[in-house]
Amino acid sequence: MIQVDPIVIVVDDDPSFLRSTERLIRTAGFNVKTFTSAEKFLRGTLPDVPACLVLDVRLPGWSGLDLQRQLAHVGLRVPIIFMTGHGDIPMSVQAMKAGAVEFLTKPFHKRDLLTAIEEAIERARVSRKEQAKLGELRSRYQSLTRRQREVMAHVVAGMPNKRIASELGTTEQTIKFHRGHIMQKMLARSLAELVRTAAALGIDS
Amino acid sequence: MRDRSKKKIAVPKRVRRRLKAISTQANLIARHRRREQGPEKSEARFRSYFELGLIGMAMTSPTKGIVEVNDELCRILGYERRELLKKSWAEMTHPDDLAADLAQFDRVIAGEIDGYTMDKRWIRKDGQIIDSIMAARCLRRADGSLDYFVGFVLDTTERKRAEEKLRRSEILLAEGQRLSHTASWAWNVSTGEVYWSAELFRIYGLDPKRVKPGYPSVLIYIHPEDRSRVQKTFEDAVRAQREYELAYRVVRPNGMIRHVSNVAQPVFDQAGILTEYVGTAMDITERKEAEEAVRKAHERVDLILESISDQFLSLSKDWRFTYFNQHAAAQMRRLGKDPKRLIGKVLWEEFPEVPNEANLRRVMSERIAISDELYYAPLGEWLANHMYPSEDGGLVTFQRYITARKRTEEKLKQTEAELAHAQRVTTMGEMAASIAHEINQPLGAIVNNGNVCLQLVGVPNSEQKKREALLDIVHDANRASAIIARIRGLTKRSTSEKTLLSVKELIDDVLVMANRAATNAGVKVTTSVPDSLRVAGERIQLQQMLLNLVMNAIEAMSNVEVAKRTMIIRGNPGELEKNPAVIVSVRDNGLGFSSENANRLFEPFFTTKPNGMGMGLGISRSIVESHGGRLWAKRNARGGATFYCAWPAEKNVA
Repeated sequence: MIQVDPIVIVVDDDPSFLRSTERLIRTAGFNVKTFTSAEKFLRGTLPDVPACLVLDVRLPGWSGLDLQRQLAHVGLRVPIIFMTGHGDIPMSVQAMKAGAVEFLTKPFHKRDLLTAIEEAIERARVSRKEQAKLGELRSRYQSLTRRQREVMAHVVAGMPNKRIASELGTTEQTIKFHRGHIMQKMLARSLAELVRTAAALGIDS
Repeated sequence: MRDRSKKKIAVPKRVRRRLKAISTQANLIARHRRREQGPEKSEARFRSYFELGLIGMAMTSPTKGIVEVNDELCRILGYERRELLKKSWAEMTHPDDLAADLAQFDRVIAGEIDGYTMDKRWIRKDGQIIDSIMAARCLRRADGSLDYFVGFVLDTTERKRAEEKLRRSEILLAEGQRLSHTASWAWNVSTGEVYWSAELFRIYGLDPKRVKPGYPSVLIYIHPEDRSRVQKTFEDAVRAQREYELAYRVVRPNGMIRHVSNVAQPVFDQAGILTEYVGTAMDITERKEAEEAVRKAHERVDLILESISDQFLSLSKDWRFTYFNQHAAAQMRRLGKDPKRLIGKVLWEEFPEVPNEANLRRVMSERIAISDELYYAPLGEWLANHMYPSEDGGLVTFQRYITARKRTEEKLKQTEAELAHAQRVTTMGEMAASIAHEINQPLGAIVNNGNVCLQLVGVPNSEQKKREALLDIVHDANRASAIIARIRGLTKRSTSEKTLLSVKELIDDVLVMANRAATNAGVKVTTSVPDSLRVAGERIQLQQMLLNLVMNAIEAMSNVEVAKRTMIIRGNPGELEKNPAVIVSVRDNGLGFSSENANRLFEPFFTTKPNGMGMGLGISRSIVESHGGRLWAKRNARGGATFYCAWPAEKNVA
């Protein structure tokens, strides 16, 4: 997988602060895109690169926390760094629980922000990789027949072949045959790997 | 004085006697002539009477023609002798008396009588009416036939006139006595005879026909408490033959009491012997009663003035002290003055520095009531004065010490200021998050920009970037400083210094504090305030008041849906109690307030918020009122509430 330039998205309603943050991040070598409200950010498009959000907690209209909730809801897992002029503990706890990378209080140290950004970008990269991997696993899974998927579910649940055969009303031999094909199609080298893949795909037994 | 009114108008006895004597003499003469055919002696004597001129005399014929007259009759009737001799007495007789005269005359002619006497009037030559007493006697011849008449005429005109005058003056006197309640009396020392005027009987309530006054019998009509005093005074005066004055009460037979004032003086004869006492008595009951009523009224007024807890004093129109009640007197003593000696003294001379001199002079000259309050340093007291013009052209003042009240007011003001400060600080506490955010925003930007510059030090072609960042740093540093100044202003104690303020600036300042809270609460704020609107006031207090209203509005909308959270702040010229005013309104779309809470909104410690102190609106109201304005709330027709504050407009602002 080739490395693409990540982007840092900053949302703050104070234009002066927004400009300074943009300048700081850009000077550190990142691409930066800025918005003055959550709504404006949502109307824009997210480029297909590793991205992170630097988000002010208090925004007119939707707050930063509202936006975090909304993004999670639609399945957009963008790492978020929160900023606040005056943060309280309950607010930061809530933000961190919901998966925020960092919770910074203005004015913050450059290093803290850049470290957080780097971590967030790394998370984004990892996330992108995972997403890509998951996509591949999913397409492998898509290539299985219906019967093979049934057998796989039983296999990853840890059932012996004999038992699976009786459950599905067939012979042990047939199950063994299916199992070989499943391992081949899913590129699983071991049962353990197949179980991990099934977990990643969210397949319940 | 003797009362002559009851006497008949009459010719004095001596005159009558003389007339009778003359008439008798005439009879004698006639008799003698009849008997002796004109004896020389009698004739001569008659002639001498005739010429003596004491009395008007005439000899007339039976046909009324005048035969002989004397000079006196000529004088009485105003004719020359020769004229009279051509006239008859009948033609000179007053027509009203002629019939009576002729009747008597005919009786003489008829031989029934020899003469008669009558009061009769004559017409003088000049037309004047003459009163007279006339006696006529006939002289008969031996055969009994009439020879001639002798007439005697006594002119009583002057006397009659005097009698008339006297009578009239006596009537007038009696009338005057009745009207003036003044009576007269006389007491003859030797005979004990007492004379009372009608008025005196009236005063005593006695019937003059049934009671004969005398001394000491009169004493029974005098009030028992006064009797011995009257008796002693009277008898002492008589013994010393001196005049005296007495006032006493008379008890009328019907029990009514009259107050009488009596003045008397002794009268001496030519030999210096005391003959009688004459006096006047006056019924002074009405005067006494009036005096009593006035005295009682004065007493009542004095009692009131003395019993009131205020200082009361009066000044004449030439600024002289005329009265102090006990409290005013005490005040004068506190000032080192003797109130008794101040009476009659001029205010400005005794007290050259009177703080409310201008008001006192206005009351005196414009005749209006004025009230004022002042601090009087010599007493170390605050005084409330009420000054009124008085009917005598002067003025009166009621004064009350209000030092304690003033101190309480002062203390209350201080307490209010402290409370307002506490509330401001509390509000600040509540808004700490907002404020911190507000300040950290520019600080954050400064740090960021500073870091950028540091990063770019020594980096080629970065000058422009560094310049931009540095400009932003300066801008943000200024922004932070301005915010701090505003917040420090709010937490400072009020200076109570009033200045002319732009309403728009006030509201903008308040919104700097409140914007964050409004933003967080999702409240959309719109303002509409003309730039020209000005109000005189204390900046911090007015900001606090407006901030309270704005924060209140924001909180009121916390339970309504976000889309509806709007606040409208308006400033307009308007009217307050018919005077030009500035009205600022803060309108929200919140839950409003219930009618039962409407009256309690501004009460201290009334709050519907779980964490509210309940001081905000109360303090806001006292702030507005201390600026001479009013603060009130209305429920909006479509929900929410609008708070209005109104102040008197500043006239000198264009």
